[in-house]
Amino acid sequence: MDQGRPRLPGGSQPVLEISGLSIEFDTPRGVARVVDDVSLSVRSGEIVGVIGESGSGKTLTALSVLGLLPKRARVRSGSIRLAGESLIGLPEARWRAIRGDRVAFIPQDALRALNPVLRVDTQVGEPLHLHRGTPWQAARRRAVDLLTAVHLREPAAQAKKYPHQFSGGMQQRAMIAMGLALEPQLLIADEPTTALDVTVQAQVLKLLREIRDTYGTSILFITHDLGVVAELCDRIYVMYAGAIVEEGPVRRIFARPRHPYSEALLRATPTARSVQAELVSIPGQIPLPSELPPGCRFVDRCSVAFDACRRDPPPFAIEAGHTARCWHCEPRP
Amino acid sequence: MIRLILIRLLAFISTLIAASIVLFIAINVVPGSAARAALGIDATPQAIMRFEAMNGLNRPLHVQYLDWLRKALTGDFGTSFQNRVPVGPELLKRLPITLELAVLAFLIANLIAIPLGTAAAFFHQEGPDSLITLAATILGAIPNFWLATLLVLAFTLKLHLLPAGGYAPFFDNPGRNLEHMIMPAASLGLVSSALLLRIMRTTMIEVLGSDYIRTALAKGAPRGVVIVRHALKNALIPFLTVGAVEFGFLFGGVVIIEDIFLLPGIGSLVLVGIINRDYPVLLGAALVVTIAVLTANMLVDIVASVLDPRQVHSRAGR
Amino acid sequence: MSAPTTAAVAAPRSTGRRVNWRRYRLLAIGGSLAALTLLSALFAHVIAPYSPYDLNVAEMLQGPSGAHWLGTDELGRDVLSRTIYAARISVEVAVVAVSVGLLGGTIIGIVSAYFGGLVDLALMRLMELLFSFPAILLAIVLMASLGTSILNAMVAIGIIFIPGFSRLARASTQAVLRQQYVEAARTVGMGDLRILVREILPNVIAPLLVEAAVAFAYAVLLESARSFLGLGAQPPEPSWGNMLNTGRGFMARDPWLGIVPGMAMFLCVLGFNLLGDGLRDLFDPHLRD
Repeated sequence: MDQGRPRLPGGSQPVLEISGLSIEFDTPRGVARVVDDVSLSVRSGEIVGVIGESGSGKTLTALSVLGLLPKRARVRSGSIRLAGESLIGLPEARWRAIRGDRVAFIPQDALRALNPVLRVDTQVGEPLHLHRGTPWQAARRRAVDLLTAVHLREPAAQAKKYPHQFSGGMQQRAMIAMGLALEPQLLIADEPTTALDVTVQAQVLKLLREIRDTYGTSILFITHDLGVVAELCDRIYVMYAGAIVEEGPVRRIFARPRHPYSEALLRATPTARSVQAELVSIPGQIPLPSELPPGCRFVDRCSVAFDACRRDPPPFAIEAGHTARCWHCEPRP
Repeated sequence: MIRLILIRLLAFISTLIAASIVLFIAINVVPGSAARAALGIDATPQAIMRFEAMNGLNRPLHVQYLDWLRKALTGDFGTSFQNRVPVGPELLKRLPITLELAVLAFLIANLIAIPLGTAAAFFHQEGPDSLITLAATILGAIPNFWLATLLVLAFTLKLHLLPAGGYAPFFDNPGRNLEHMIMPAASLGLVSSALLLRIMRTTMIEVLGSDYIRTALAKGAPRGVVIVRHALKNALIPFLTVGAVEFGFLFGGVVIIEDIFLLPGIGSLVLVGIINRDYPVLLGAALVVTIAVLTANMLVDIVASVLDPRQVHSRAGR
Repeated sequence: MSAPTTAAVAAPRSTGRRVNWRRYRLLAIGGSLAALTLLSALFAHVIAPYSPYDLNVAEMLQGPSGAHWLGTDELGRDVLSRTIYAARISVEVAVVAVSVGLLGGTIIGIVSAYFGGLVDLALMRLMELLFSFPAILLAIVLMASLGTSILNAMVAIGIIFIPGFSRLARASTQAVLRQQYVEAARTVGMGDLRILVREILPNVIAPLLVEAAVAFAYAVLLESARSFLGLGAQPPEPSWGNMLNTGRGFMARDPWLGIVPGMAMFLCVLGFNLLGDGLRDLFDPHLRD
């Protein structure tokens, strides 16, 4: 990748800034708020993790950055800024220019995310054709370069194949190559390693780190797997039932989680063997958006709930860059 | 790839043989009527017996069948009971007309069904979808022979634009050929398009909900590109496979339409065979129609397989 | 949003009235048209203003008027009355045909799925063969060979329906068999036949009803086509098909003769198709949301 874009000096302006984002869904039972007042940021060159169980709203948050929310979902309030540009209410033409070029999406199931009737090099090279007007032949050749960059073996030969002929790990690499095609400032990865086995998972994580180190690309990494998070991320946000309950540097939170949910997650994290960290040891289930308890949303499953928890706690600062929404973190007078 | 075609061919042949057996049995269920139809109502029992002996109609059924099959494989389809004309050449002469009708109808049906079905899927759960689906439902309920009648009423009787019957070979005079063929083809094609439209709509809705469509959108592809480059081929594969069932209806309709528009094709020959109890004619014509349907089905199957890389390239090569 | 839910199992009433109305619209329209056809067939002698056979050559080929709402045909007979009476043949044929197909198909399908193995394989191969045959062709040939007798026509069409129904019945039965209550019934010692009737049948009915409505429409279509070709009901007996066929020849003088019988066919077929669609939506669990 020779044509780099001038990168923002680290920390001057966040690559991604989400403020007070709330997303609602129309359901037959009424309006459900699936993402509630979420704020997060990703600085240049950072790898930020968003952790939560399925149903926590993390995927929807990510999709809103791409403008790809499902039909019945609506952004109720809040703002999303990509390198300073506000994305809410953007005309479709501008969205199309941004997608793939400034921000790229790497979804979970690579096999289903790849078009079965198109060759791999066509799909990987397509962003160049769409955004730069690169003719197809040249775009396909560039695709081979991209596949080389993601360490696909025999890239020239494999590029001509179809997705179903690739293994799971190869498919995910192809998706990453597709995402890198236009050197975006931000990669949004939605559980990209969940469907892979352990060894392949490690390789993909290594690849992502390498991309950040080499090109300075920021990564928003969505997962429910804490093992992955520890290895890859600089900072993390813990989401529960649509809201962020704790955020901070990964080492800090792992060393001493301050929200009961984060703590329960870490206790439940298994050893390296069972990578699919199903958080079953926390009793109870995540509440439906339409059935949130009044007050702190975690109160029904919390082992240390007390009477203050009848009110929803605001985020309390614990130290620099580390906050948690728990009454236990309220600074003592 | 070759194996694919061979399997299909085998299925084709076995179905054809089975179909010919079924046809043969069906036609010969009622004995004696062939003779009476050929010789007239006041035929004497002796005349009938002589007729049957001459034509081998008094032999056991399976003997008759095998005899017919043997001859048919060499291209000898016997001669008409009515006028002693050899059936084989007559079939050959009429085949192009029926084929042209079927192809035209097929084109009309798909030219309507594919774009409109795609549009309906694209606007799923919005206004245009309901409208298109409603139109398709209404169109699909129209009997094709009534549509033919209405078209003749409008374009022949009222507007004097098109002829109500007859045929002119294409290579002699393309213009007149189309004048004769457009209403028959439209009668068949429009009604067929209704079902095909609904099938296309369903497959396209499913395709548009796929993850790879979301990937294409996430790359910044405009919706037109998404539909044409990413969705269409994926939707066509199941569309072809499921829509192939329409061929049966299409060729069935050919029989009636050829009768209405006085087109000298195989369809009208089937009718003639039925009315006159002319078994060789009926058997030959019905068989040709069956072959046509089975061939169309097989072709469509092959095309669908070829379009799908998952069928063409095995997973072995990594 | 795939969170496991502890929400109440009973689906709460939909708050949007619009959803309900839409759902029953198809059913209402289809049902009305279907009912219209059935009523015409059953009560033709009550509804029709004239006898379908009354000739009055002096008044032939007249357009719609006060005395004859849909005009008269080439022999001066009242078109409206003949159209109403013609419903009888269509309904008669369709009812028997669908019954034959439904009965035969359901039995074959359930038996096939229940006993499985060789029985299943053999029956399904047979069904496949019948299915791959161009239906209309088989219909025409069968009807032709069996003569113009109406009963034979009904049976012939019914036979054509059997594969479709059997496939449905088999699939539904297999789905039901996977459920636990059949196992429970067996362990309690219920005989095979009782299981078939009491446990399997009720759950298999719904998709069959939908298919029956659509098959009814198709049967009407086939019968009309047959009559149109002159192979069905013979004049002076009125059927929509032969009315259209004869009327066609007189369209130059009276276009209504080419429109009315076809319109009757169309409305009947449309009605039963919509009925089928409406029933399908009614039974579809997905749409209950």
